[in-house]
Amino acid sequence: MGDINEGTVSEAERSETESPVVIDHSQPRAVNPEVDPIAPLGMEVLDEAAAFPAGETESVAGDVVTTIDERPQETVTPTDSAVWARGLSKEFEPGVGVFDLDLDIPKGSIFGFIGPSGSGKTSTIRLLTGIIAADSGDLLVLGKSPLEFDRIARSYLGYMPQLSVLYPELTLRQNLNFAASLFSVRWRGRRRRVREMLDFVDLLSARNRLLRNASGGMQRRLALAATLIHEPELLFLDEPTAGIDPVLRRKFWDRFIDLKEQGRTIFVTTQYVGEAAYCDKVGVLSRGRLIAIDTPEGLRRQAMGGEVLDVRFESALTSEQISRLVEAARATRWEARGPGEYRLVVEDAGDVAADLSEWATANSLVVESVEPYQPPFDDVFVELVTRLDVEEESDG
Amino acid sequence: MAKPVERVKGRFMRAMAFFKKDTLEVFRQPRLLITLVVGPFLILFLFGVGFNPEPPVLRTVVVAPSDSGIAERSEQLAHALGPQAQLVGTLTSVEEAEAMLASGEANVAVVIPSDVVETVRGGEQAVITILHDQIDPFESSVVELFAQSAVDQVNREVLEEVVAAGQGRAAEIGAPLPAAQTAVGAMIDAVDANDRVAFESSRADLIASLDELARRVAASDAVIEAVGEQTSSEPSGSALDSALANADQLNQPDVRDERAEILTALEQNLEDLEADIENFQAIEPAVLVSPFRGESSGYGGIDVDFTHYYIPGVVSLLVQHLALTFAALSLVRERTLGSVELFRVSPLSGAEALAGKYLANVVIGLLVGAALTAASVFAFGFQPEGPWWWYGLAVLLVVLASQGLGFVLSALAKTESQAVQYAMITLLVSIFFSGFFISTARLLPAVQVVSYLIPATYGIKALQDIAFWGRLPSIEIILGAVLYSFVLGALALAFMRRRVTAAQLSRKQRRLARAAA
Repeated sequence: MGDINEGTVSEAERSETESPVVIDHSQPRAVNPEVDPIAPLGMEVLDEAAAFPAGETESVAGDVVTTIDERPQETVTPTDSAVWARGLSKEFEPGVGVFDLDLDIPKGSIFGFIGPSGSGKTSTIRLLTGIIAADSGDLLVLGKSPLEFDRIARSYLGYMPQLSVLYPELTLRQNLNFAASLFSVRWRGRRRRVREMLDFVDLLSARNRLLRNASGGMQRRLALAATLIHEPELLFLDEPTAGIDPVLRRKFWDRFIDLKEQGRTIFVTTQYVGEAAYCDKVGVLSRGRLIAIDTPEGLRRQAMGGEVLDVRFESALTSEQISRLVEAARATRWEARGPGEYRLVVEDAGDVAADLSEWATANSLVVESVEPYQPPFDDVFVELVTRLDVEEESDG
Repeated sequence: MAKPVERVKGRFMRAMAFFKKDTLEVFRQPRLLITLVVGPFLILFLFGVGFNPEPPVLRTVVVAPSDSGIAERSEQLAHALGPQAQLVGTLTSVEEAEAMLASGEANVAVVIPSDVVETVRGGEQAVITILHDQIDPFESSVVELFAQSAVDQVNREVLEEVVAAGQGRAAEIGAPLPAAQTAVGAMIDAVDANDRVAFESSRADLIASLDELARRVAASDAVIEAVGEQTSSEPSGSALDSALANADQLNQPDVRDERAEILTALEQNLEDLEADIENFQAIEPAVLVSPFRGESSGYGGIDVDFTHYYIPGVVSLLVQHLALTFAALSLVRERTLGSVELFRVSPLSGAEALAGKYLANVVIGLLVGAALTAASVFAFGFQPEGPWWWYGLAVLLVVLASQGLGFVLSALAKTESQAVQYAMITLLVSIFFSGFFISTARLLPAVQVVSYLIPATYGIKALQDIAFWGRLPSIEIILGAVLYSFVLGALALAFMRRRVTAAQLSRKQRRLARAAA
């Protein structure tokens, strides 16, 4: 592996050019076990990562961003993002790939990437980790183009592939040790670190079992432990919860939230749309295109056209009464769900709920309940994708 | 910037991770080990133990005319075909013999012509025809070789009989000798008495006796003389010729004063002749007919046992097969498993992964080489003439060269089964071209290039030099193996870098980026 920038920048230059995006690993990480239960004292990553080398092309503080093709260099000013991309595209065959991705993932957040199978989620991760090169677009990961990652930059990344890539003939413990060596986790304290990680994923008692004898769920858990073994700053998790039971899935997400609270950034893809609720921001991918990107709530709004309110009256309303109800609620859409039960899409559910009570009293109607409705993300996802299909059809 | 020591530690740690992982993977798959090492070893072991260097029995029939004397000597004739020939019958017609060959009752038929005497008298050789049922070209050529040898044997036996008959008549050959010796004694007395008449009378007796001797001796003496000529030694000359020359000289008028000396020489000539005749009678007819026989032995007293000869070949071939297969499999497995995706995101470099894999395969290869050699020592009493550490270095070279080839082959293989197939093809090529069964010197020079593309070729030559001659292999072999290892290692490194390294900017792109910055 070529060390692109190693040795090209002096210590003095480096101290001047290091950007705020850069994580300072110049000292072994001071770990507080109270704050970080999976990082016991003594766990250190080799001092290879003593300084994130800041070459001429990697600084993000108002500097030039390296483009990945040979177009004239475009001057951009990326934000303080863990991942920043503009117009990122990779086409594998006509119409298949990822196209025009714009991403801006703040540090210390969980970014969910949702999309059906084959929509380009894994390809996006492969682009972001530098496994493959994009055809066009600008990309910075931790302030640096992945195509210029050297070994030190890579030590800040954690990657959990979609399928098990560990070794069936090794025990769970040996696999974890291998992953630790791959990312230069020091021998001193490693034993304890490995043990802690196995304990975290409930595999301590099975540590001497060969991976080939482990269940699919165990293999996913081990893969997660292997991804976290070196405490990466930025994690790319490709469908980490696929094929595991709901209880463990919940545990995984609790762990991801813990990691986020420690300041780590997580880029996670999933087919379980409901998991979007755990994310700070969610991107919805369909046929290689990012069709929506927002907070979970924002996505709901996008999908439904506003907030959703369920109103139940004592008796069914007449057509005229319904028209007046829609007008009073300033609803953009409505739906009768049963006798006297109506679902309204409104701008602000809180305001409308209060207004509706007054309106009902004034119109001699008895409101039994007014409740905001949180549509499940499955519905949100289906709505967004369906809408894209309709738009594309109408575009011809 | 990372401290150099820390960087080295990191590299070492990652390389050792691969070493440990690859070693564990191999030893966790005993079936794979058995398939790759023990299986081929057992096959070769069985072959070595079961191979019979003696040619198979050839059931032989002799076809000879009933009135032929040779028919009575069929057993002898069949025996002349070699130890493998077993006489199963004496026939009088070729058709019968062909029927036996067709039915498989006989393998060889020796057909004696019916008109031997007439053919020879006519100045031509009589032809003994050998019919056989061997279709294997090697066995066929062996039969032809033995047949030629048998015909030579028949010719020799005929000659031996002739010579023996000649020896039996040797007493008759020497009959005129006492008369000649008496005449020489009388001539000496006549010279002393200055009796010219007696001298001439005795000289006439001497000439008559010598002529008679010359006539009788001529045939047998020629044999001895011919032997002398064939060996390029000085012709011994015939004592009889000298005696005749001396007898002629006595007739010259200018040798009157030297008669006594000539007569003394003549007396000596006759004694020599008498001794020659006695010697001729004493020589075995077989020696006279076949004065030479060949004896061969290894230079420097080297006598390599049939089984021992193949041990360097077996060790080289199996170590090559194992190192090559493990190297190819380990890379293909990582590709099919998807581990390379993880490597590309990690700080791992191609050199680190390759170093770990090389080290693992070296340890495994040397262990297997040691096990095979130990088995050879205990089972066959194999003991190399050269020091063991030379032997170990030669095996190490085979392991290094083979691994490089294995890694390069893995670039071509898309699946594990393809990798195993490539390894098996390489083994097959190695069996034919590495000098394992037939010497590489028997291959055309252009084909020998293939031999030197096989790591085992270097191993076999090096191990044979060390094991049998107790000497270091030739510099060409050592340098060849080292160069081979380096070239293949460099190719493997380039390949490994491509595999474990993520996409990167090209140099040109990097230059442009820097310039823009």
